[in-house]
Amino acid sequence: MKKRLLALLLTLGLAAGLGWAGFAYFGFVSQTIYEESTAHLTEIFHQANQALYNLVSVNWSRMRMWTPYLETAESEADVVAYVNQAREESNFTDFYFISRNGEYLTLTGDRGYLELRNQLADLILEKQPVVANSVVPDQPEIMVFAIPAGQGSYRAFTYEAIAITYNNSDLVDALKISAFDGQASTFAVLPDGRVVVDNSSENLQDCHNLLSMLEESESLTDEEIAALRKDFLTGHSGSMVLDIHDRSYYLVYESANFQNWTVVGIVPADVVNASMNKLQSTTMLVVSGIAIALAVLFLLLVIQQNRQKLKRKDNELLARDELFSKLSINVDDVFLMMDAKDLRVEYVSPNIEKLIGISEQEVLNDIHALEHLIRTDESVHVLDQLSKILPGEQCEWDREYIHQKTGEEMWFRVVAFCTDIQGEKKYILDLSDRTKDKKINQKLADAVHTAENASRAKTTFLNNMSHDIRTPMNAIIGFTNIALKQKPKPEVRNCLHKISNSSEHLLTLINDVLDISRIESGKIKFAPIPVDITAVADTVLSIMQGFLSDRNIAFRTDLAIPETPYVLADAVRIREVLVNILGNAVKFTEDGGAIDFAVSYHPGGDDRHIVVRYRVADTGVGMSEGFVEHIFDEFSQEENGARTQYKGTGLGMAITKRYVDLMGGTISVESKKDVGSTFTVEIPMELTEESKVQKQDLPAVEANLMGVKILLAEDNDLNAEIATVQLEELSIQVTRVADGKEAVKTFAENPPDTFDMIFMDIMMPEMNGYEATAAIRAMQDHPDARRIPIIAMTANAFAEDVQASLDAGMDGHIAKPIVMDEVIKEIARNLN
Amino acid sequence: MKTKRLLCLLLAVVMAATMLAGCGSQNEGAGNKGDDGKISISMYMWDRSMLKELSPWLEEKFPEIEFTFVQSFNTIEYYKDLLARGEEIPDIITCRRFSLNDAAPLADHLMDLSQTEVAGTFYSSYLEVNRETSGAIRWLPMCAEVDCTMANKDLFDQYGIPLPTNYEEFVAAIDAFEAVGIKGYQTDWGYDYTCLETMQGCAIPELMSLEGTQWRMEYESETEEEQVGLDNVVWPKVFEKYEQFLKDVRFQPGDEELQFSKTMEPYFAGQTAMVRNTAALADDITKERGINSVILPYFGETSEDNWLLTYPMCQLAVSSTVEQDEAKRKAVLEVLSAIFSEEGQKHVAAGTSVLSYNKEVKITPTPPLAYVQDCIDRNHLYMRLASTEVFSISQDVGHKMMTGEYDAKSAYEAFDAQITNYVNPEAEEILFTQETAYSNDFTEHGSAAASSLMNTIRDSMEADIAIGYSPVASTSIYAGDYTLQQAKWVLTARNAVYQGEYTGEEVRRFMDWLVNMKEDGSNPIHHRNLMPVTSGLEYTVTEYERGRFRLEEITVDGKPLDDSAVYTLLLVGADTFLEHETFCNCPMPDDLKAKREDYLVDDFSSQECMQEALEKTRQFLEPTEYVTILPGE
Repeated sequence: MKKRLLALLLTLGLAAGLGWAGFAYFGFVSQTIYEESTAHLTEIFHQANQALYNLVSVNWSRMRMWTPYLETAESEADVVAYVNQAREESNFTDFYFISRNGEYLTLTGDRGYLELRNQLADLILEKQPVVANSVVPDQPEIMVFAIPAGQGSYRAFTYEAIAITYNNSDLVDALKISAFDGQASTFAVLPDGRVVVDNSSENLQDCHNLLSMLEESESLTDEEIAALRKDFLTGHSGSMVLDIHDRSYYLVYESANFQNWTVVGIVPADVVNASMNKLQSTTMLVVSGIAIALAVLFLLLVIQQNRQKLKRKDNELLARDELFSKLSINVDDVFLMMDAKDLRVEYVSPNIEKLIGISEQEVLNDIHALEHLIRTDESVHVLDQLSKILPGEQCEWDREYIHQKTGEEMWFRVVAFCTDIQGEKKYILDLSDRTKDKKINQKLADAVHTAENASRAKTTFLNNMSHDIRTPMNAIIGFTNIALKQKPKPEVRNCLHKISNSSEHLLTLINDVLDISRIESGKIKFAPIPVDITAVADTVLSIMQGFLSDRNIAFRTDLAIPETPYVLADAVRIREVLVNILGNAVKFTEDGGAIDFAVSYHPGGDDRHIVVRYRVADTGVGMSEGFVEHIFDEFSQEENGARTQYKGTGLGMAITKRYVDLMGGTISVESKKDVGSTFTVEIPMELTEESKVQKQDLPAVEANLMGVKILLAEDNDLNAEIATVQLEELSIQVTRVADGKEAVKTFAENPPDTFDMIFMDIMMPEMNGYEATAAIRAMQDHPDARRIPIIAMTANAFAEDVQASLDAGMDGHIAKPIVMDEVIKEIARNLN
Repeated sequence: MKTKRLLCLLLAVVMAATMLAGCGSQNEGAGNKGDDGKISISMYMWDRSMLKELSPWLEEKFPEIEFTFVQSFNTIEYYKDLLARGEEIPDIITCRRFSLNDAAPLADHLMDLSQTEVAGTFYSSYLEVNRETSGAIRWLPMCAEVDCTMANKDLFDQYGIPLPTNYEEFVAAIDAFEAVGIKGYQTDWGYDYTCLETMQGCAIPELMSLEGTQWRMEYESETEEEQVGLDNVVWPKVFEKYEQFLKDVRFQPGDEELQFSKTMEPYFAGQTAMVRNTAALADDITKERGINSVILPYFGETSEDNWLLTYPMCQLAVSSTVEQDEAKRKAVLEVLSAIFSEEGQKHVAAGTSVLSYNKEVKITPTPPLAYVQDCIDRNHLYMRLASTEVFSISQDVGHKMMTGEYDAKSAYEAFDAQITNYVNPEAEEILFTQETAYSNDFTEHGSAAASSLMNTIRDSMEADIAIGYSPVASTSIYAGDYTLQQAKWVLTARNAVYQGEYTGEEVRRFMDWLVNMKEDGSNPIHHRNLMPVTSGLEYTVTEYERGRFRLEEITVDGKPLDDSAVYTLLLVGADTFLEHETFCNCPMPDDLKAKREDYLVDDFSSQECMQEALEKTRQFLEPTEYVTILPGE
């Protein structure tokens, strides 16, 4: 559209330009013709005027020569002969002797009065030559050329001047213009326009006053005529173009240089410009021809281009038709186009029969044939929905169809478009066969279901493994700790320490294996919450105090202070990462070495984010370059005999790397054998507001737990015993029940304040810990039901287990094997 | 932008409409357009003969023009007086007595015709006479009338007296006729023009000498501040020759009172051989009376010194107000072109002997000019010096030479004295003060001015009924002081007056003759302006076609005309028009004509009648609605 408009504007511009150029050219040519013609005319009429002036001048010269002879002529016959000879030379009409009173005498003796009016005095008294118009009755107007003569006498007629006369018509000869095929008119006019000498062509006859005639010309204004009259009066020359009797004429004029005559030439413009007009018209014809030829060529070019364009379009359309046809046949989509008014089918792709088992013709005859396809009556028919679609919009439905020939169940995605094609509203239906997709999806869903089942089995297995290993581990560790507290013999103590160390190593091993497995199975999620990030480092440092208590290692810290410490972060994971790295540093640094721990804060991607950098540098054993490349691989441990010296699973750094990745951070390591290693961890964090940060629980004070009454629900007797022994060592009163049901019953049956707290195992027969908690919380008639702290004490140690406990209405979670410090803290926290 | 254009357009339309409206009202005032959309042209003709000859032809030739023809006066003073009264100059005016210096005061009110096509048709030498120093030409001369000596050739032949060819033979011929008891030369010396023409005619060679023409050019271009007296070379000779001429024509004491009719009756009767007269009249007399009358020149010593005295039949000018309306200007110029065409000039000349001043107009001299053809061929055509003062002074000085009071010398001195300080006595004394103005515009009840005039005359003449020709009044009667000259300008012309008793039946027939169309198709009243003016009698006419009227009711003093009653009827100038063949060719019934001729009041023209009446009434009397023109079928 824009192109067309542009093309139209360009064409119009070109046409206007050509028009202007033609107009300008015509104007230029016309002006040139006018200038050339008037110059030409002026020259011609100047020559005519000159001829008239010469006639006058010559006459006076000759007459001056005659007078001496006439005065001295011996006889009248001589005078007659002389004058007749002069007449032949000068071609005048009459010769007069003129008396003092204006009487004339001709050579033949005719007398009369020559009306010269005031010029008689000029002639006789002033002795000046005069030219005058005069008239004698019944004669044409005459032009008198008179000169004074010495007083002479002819036939006893005393004269004082002589004169020759011309009939005005004779003077016409002087002004005759041979050019212009006799169509040139020449006038001698007086200042008021009166015609004195009339040499008019047929076109301008019977003109007695030129100005009066010009007044009739509408092409001249009053001012122009007044200017012309002024020019006549002042003897100026000029030229103009004007219309007389609806014909264009050139008018040139110049002073006759005697009397007060002006010689005026008028010639039809078409006569003057005949050759120029021919040239102009030929030029215009040629130019027009060229222009027309160019226009035709341009037109042909445009037509050719249009044809090519149309051909290309046709080809494109054919190709598209072919493509569409092939597509229609080969794709699993059926296309239909319908007129919106009456749902008359205008097109249906030929693959319809293949895809849905209804012939093309059947649908062309009646679109409602498609209604047979519907499998059930529940679906709203697509055709009924079309009227709701506005132009430019589309609607989609999934429909289950029955193939009308095979009876096969098929799924289609039906897309209906409403469009406006050159003012006509159309519906386009696309019935896209999605049966294959549907089946594939079904298979995929099945596979996913299977995988999910497998995953669930794995998780269950891991959970069970975790639970089932922890349970005996709880017993081993617990009883080892109990045994150690019995003040055994040194040999026994040594053994108990070894059991304890091995148990802890085994537990670590199990935890790492479970962690990595959980990470891989996506069980571990990054869960940032608003925290004070400086507290994380503080926690780590307090843990490190324990690690370093029996080591001679210099531990130096460089903890920067952030502008704002409140961020969204998974403090547990960060702590684990740092403890893992620092633990390794302690582990691989011999006594006498040093560990540097630095925390710095850097700007993040924007002002809402920061990057926290943790740097741990040790002077430990270092790593080979080859190992550094694999340090984050699972189960990677440098084969340097250190394994024997430094026990580990080879999963620590792999887990650390996974955690850092999980948090969107990076971890890098620089290490040199026998020099030391430097780990740098950078974790991006989003800033948050202080108000959102939950206050850290106050550290457990040295609580006096004496007399605290705990209901312990534990089905495993060993675990129950370990817990009971260790709790009672703290003077805590423990009431043990064997399952959840019993726990509920015991709680319900006892009056308020019987128990301060409930330790609830999860996996118990009869009623698990979650159910039991729910039951207790649901008790309406027990005042402690809602407020009594219930702490999970379970071998379900994963984070989701912790969450599950909280979700079930519990207030805390203690993982088995139990660590009494943790237990004491939890009791103290909940009592507080 | 669009709004501005629209506004401009609107303003332009309003302006144009206003201007057109302005033009329209102006035109209406100037009478440019009649009720029927025709262009109106008012034309004042100096003489009734011109009116009767030219007006029907112009009306026929220009049916799209509404003409108003008014008979005016031969002198330019009449138009000066119109201006003095604050009236506008009519569109086309004519006058007989003309000189450029007389016309100078009118120059600002007249159109410059020099640049018109019609002026281009004139021979330069004739037209140049009328060119002002500014270059303008405002007056165009109509064909030349020859006014010399008319000779009864039959009488010359009868007595074997040869027609004279020079002054000596002219005197000899007079003597010869005197010898046989026939007056050799007589003329109506009582008129100023006769005095002027004979005075100038007898000395044309002197007046046409270099000195004579020099003086004349000087005189004709005099200004009010610098009056030109007579020269002392030419004019003394003129008076000497005139003194001799009066003797040679055997002037008798008392002849200076002679009027036209008193001169012509002896001529018609063969008792006078030669009289001063125009070629036109000579032609008429030859045709109408069968008296072979020829024109003889003013004789010089030799035949080569003979000259014809000529003057334009009239001069014609156009009011400058015409230029305000281009359509009207064109129409007027077309009328002028028609008037100065060959056909037009023949109508003006009414087929009589005149000479044309225009190119391409050939008016063949009629037989009365046959004997002066040599003068014509020699261009011995003297144009009389015709200023108003020269007319008047010529009469005064001429009469005093005739009576012997002046000899040539004292005549010269008296003439010279008057010409530099001319005063028209009739234009000096206040005769009366008119109290009420009456318009001369013609309505369905006629002209109030004409009615007033006719009522005044009837009152004076103590007649029961007065009937006059319609254009009896040449101008409106204004309220204010009237001199005798101004009063004379109200009445158009000097017409014969008839008064006597008529029966009612005769009065009815008289009115029928004046108004109704005749059986032969001749139409006496082809324009309502020509309707007779009556006093003491009222009549009704029906205009059943444009320019055709039917006489209906006639009443006398409000009562139906009693056919048997006898009324004293005064007829003023209601005679010759209708009978003239070029006008209506309606001869008056014989019995009425005989009665009318019997009732001629001798030596008493309409002008004298009016003068006498005004001396009594000292007021133009109140007009009456003497006519009612009804439209009808």
